[in-house]
Amino acid sequence: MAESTAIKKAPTPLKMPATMLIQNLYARSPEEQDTAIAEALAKEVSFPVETPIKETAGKKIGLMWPRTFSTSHPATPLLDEYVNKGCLVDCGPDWSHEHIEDALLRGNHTSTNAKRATQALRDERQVKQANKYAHVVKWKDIKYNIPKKLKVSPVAMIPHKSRAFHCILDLSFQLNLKDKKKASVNSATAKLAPREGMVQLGPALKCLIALMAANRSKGKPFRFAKLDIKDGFWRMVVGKEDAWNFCYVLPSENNNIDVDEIEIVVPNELQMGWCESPPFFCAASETARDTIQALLKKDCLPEHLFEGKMMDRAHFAEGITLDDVSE
Amino acid sequence: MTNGDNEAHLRHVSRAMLHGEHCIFPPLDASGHDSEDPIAQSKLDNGDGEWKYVKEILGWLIDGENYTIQLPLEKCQKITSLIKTIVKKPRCHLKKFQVLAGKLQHASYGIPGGAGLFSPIDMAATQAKDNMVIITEHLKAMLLDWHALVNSFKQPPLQFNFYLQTGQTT
Repeated sequence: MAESTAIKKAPTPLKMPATMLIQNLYARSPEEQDTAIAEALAKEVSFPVETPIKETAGKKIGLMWPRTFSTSHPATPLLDEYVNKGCLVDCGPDWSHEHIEDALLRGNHTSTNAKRATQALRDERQVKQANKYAHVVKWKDIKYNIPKKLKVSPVAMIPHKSRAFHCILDLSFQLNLKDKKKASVNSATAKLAPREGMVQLGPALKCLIALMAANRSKGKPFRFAKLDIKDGFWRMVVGKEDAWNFCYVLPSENNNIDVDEIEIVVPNELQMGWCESPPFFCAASETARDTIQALLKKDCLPEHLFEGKMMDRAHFAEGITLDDVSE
Repeated sequence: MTNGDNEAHLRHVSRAMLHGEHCIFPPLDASGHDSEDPIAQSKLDNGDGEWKYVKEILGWLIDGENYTIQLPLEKCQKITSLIKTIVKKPRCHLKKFQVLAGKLQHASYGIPGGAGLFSPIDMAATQAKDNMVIITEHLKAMLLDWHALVNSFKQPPLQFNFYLQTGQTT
């Protein structure tokens, strides 16, 4: 009798007791992870019970960190290091006082002289400052106590197809000091980023064509969709001290500004124009790609807020089964 | 890309892509940031995220229904007009020449054996003096050959099986 009741009751397979989750240190879905963390916090007497869990609590900086489905990826410890300490940076020897002051006086690329470009750059700085992804100092405030890694490069504002301007830091710029060209930030940079993530970039088109040609069959056409990561490099950060390697002059509204009054922007994200930005970014984006590959093998995935934007206007053919496809 | 054409499958792949990206680049509610979502909304709204048979990928128009690749028309026109301006003069600025070389490099993916046509271009770039490239008769003839090749991209698009037979993917 007892057995038949047990059979009739439908088990709840995904809802594992949270205590078991903690003991086994294993959570199969984001919801289970949240449950486990919530219980751990509830047991900890020093935390108020009502406090909501915030993912960004702790030392996280930047807008990239492995979470939910990607926490078991082998690259997670590496990415966690970038999150907690910032990406590794070695931009060579420190610059002299004279070198820095000359770079400040030289200022930015001529493309920033246009009023619209100046305003765009100032607006961008304001947003970044508000989000704590950059801070601004005046030269007079640091000239007698220059931060060790301070290097100043010219910034260029390039017209962009989807926004007014694209801000690029010219880290390959070589300043002419006393008729001698100084090393640029890029040329002095030690290659510390992992190169493995970049390997698949070059042959991507060829691999795509080969895969399509190999799986070509009548009545099974291929569909394509693209997702773009917005401001990809700017989502990854460098350490507080390393940020001084990527400074630029904030264009002033007043043309005849005294050198002491020059404002220096100190951004702490990966910069567009730094030779090490692509490999660091690829380490993150390739991990995302691997996660996608793993997720495709799952039977069922939770709904996503944006999936409608990928589906709405598409026309679907009938009669093709899920088993009969290849990605 | 996928060759599964039913809605349930495409929805599954869409979810995997979206969750996969948000696993590494957290959405706004997780990051507490007040800017834009890491998945570019403007591109999604433009239809880049929609499942289509024809899409521009890495600068090439790829047709998954007819199994062809094609260089977009505006790209072909840009290259041919750049070649025309360069061959008209006896010298060319190195930077401009390098821009052309880069565009041809990209276009060469679609030319069977295209990678082998770069020796004169590379040689001319390395022999540049005072940042100027001399447009010799030989180089001019070779650039005009490229002009004809790029022009041929406009019609008809290149079939995948032809592309494979010529060993482009090895």
